Amino acid sequence: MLFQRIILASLLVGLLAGGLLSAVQHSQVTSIILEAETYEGGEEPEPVVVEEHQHAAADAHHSHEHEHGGAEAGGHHHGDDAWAPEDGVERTLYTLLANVLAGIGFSALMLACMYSARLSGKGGAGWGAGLLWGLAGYGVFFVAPALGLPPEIPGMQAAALENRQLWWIATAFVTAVGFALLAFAPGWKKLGGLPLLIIPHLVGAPHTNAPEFAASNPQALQALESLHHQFITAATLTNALFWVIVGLACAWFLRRWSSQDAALQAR
Amino acid sequence: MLYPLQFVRVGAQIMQTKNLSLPLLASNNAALQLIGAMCFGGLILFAVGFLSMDAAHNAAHDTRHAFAFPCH
Repeated sequence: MLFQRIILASLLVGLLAGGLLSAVQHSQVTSIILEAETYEGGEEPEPVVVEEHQHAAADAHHSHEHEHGGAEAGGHHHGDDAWAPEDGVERTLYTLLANVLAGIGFSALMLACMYSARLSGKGGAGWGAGLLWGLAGYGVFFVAPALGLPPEIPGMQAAALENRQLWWIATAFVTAVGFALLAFAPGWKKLGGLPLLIIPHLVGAPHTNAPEFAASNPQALQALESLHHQFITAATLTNALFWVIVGLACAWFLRRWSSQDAALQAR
Repeated sequence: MLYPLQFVRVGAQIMQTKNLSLPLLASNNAALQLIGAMCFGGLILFAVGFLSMDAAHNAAHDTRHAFAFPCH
């Protein structure tokens, strides 16, 4: 059954892409998030790099901070009583799980779209086609939304969450339709895709007038800005890798199904 | 449970009597299943990336940042 096929394949692709993403992320992205969190809320002006010296000093202020850290054992969260995974292994495992789930969700969408294109006699399933599908996914779900709402590190101030989420979803959807028109519409109708790619950015993403970071300490601000740049680069690269893997793996499944169906019909 | 081929055969028998074309039914069924798969993917992504429940946010926090989902 088509539905079962797609779900099963998306589980496997999600496991592969989410797992690989987590491995790369663990070394590249997570350390930036954790470091940025030490500045979150502007409660702790000292950059994490000088914390070693603070340890040596071990003054009363420091032990107070330790208590504070203990109360927030889950690292970062919003509601004071809300559950959060413990920093360390537990947090890493939840991130792995969430990455795999995101991989499953994205690849289910990808497989359903690729299959639709195949059913209407369009779109290949070779490695080249897989790469193109992967890049399209990267464009729809990362590049287009990130042009308006760049990847953020913890502690950044931004417009109301609901507005940004709405813009994000609308932008991804409109960009996907735009790509589909460019790729599959006949003749001049392809051009209809171009305005769709531009419209979300003409409308513009919701932004706040508040400064980017809540921290007031200039040293912390400088560190946060440098962390933010590192984070944008790391997220851009790791997402590209993720989407190329998703595209190639989904194309592999489509080819496998085609040959299975061909064998079934030949019988 | 009806497997796809059986389903198509049953559908073909019905359609011979009612004078409908086979591809129509087969493609409608495929379309429904594809839409189902998209809903499955969309629901999972919503839970991982957009659900505002504190526990969901905290568990998927680093993933939300890494995928550049709006967070905080």
